[in-house]
Amino acid sequence: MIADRLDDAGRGLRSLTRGQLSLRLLVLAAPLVALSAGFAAADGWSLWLTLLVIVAAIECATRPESHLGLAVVVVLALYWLGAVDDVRTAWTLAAGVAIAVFHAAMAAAAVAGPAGRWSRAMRARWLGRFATVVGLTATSWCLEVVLAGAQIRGTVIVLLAAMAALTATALALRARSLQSP
Amino acid sequence: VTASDWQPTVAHVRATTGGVLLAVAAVLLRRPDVLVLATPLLVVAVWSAWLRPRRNPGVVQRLGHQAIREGEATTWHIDVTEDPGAGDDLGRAEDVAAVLAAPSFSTLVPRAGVVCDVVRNGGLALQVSVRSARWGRRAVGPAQVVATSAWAAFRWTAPRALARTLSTLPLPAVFDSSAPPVHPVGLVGLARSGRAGDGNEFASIRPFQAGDRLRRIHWPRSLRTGTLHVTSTWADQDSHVVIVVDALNDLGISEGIDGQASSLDVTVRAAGAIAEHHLHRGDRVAVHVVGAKGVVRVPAASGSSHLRRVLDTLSAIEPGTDLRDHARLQFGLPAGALVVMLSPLVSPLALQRAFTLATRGMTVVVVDTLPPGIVEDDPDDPFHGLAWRIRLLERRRELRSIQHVGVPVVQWRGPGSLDQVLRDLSRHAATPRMARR
Repeated sequence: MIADRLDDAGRGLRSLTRGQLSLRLLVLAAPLVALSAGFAAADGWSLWLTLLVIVAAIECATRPESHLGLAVVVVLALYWLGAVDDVRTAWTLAAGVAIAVFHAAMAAAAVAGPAGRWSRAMRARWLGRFATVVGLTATSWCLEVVLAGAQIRGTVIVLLAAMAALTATALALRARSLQSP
Repeated sequence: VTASDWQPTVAHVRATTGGVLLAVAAVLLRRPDVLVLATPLLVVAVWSAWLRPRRNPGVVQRLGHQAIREGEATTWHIDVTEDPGAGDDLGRAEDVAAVLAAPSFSTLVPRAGVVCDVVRNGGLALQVSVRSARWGRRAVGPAQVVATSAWAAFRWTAPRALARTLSTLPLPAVFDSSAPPVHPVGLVGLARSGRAGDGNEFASIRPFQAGDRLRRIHWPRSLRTGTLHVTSTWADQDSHVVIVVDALNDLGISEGIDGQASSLDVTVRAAGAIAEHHLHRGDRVAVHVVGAKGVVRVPAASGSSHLRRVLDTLSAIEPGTDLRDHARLQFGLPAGALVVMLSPLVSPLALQRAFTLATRGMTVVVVDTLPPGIVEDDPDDPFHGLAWRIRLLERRRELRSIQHVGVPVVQWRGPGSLDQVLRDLSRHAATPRMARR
């Protein structure tokens, strides 16, 4: 059974194009980078969490269409919430970019299958858009660093406004995603 | 695969759910740093939803050529077009990937049959090259076409298209023969007859006779002798060649035009070569296929277009699909036809048929197309080689007995394979003989 799976994995690995192999390696490495950023920010580490993320990342690299990618993001965020106290640390940016790489690489790996050879135009378009997302993430981190220390009055109103904005965004996303063309 | 609307992908679910969950946690727990982690997912989710395509693209698939020769390649075209009415929409199909499965004995470029590119200026043309390495008719396609939107957030699968039939015509083997025709009967073709008549081959200069054409007058000789002389020629005559293809079985391993040939490969390519040779000489050629369903008979005709018809019929052969005993069936062959039977001579039916034709007074030549190496031992089956050796011993006895009846059996060796036997038959045809009716 295990030998069969290893054979399948070997055949699958051989059928990968160079571009696809690069994407799978990014899928494998990005969660570990995000986790390492969390460890660095928290000044500690967990063996079991590392093993869990490695196994999940391998599965995500093998099957980019897997829903396990969402679980990996949630686990990383939960660890960050529980372990990191310094909200202004620069490791936040590293973790955010790593999550962006993880998501984009998984999405890109599912576009043309393992044997798909991307054209130059496809690479250019994806890289350009990814650079935009990284730029926006960096901007949000800068804003977060600036605003984190500020004392804002009326926090209840801000909280309610933020929740309302999030709810509206979530509903709009849902409606836009599920409607028939 | 059926047509579908644009469906959200796992990537979009991950971006939307992950982004919203992290953002809610950040707001409720007052952790702006978690909002930074949520930012890339939220940005991608909003971006993807904003650019969701509204209309389905159109996909047309076609095959470049309906018929090619062995070793040649054609192209499977996939044309993707945007709906012209979608001009005011932001969302469009962006990346299109197509997968074409390789038919048997075919290679694809790119090798896996996967091509992908971005849609530009409202359209996209993808191509997969299909190289056919063996004769036959095969279904090609359809390719599975999948379009994705920005960030691979939505996916659309094209409706299933129709497969196309690609006829791969056999590449005739190299063949040539300098032997004279056995029974030239017609008045076309390049074979010189034994009697004078209209033709191109010079025969003699003789005195003018009533009925001679004026353009045949040989003026120098007439002026010299004082009486009219004309140039006489040999009549150009053709012969009727019937090629019988034994498709009762296909023995050996076929690796296409680039590798090892099976018995039917040798048979079909040899049949194509013999037909091509005789048609170029102006002879009339008919083809009968034994042991295969479908088009099993090509009536006698001549000309280069007839060669295409012969090759098309040969490419449609499916071996062993009709195992009825054809020995009693009538070919309807005219007297004087030369029958060339191509067979690996493993099935007794083929020999029976050759024997029947010979006893009816037809001139029959049997060409042995059994490939070498058929008796090699199979490591998985210790009796494989032994069984073949026994069968070949029986076959040798059967060949001896049919040669005693007067049916020559020759091994297919390409050019000159039939020369000796056809010369012998020509000499034999000039002598009186008795046929059993």
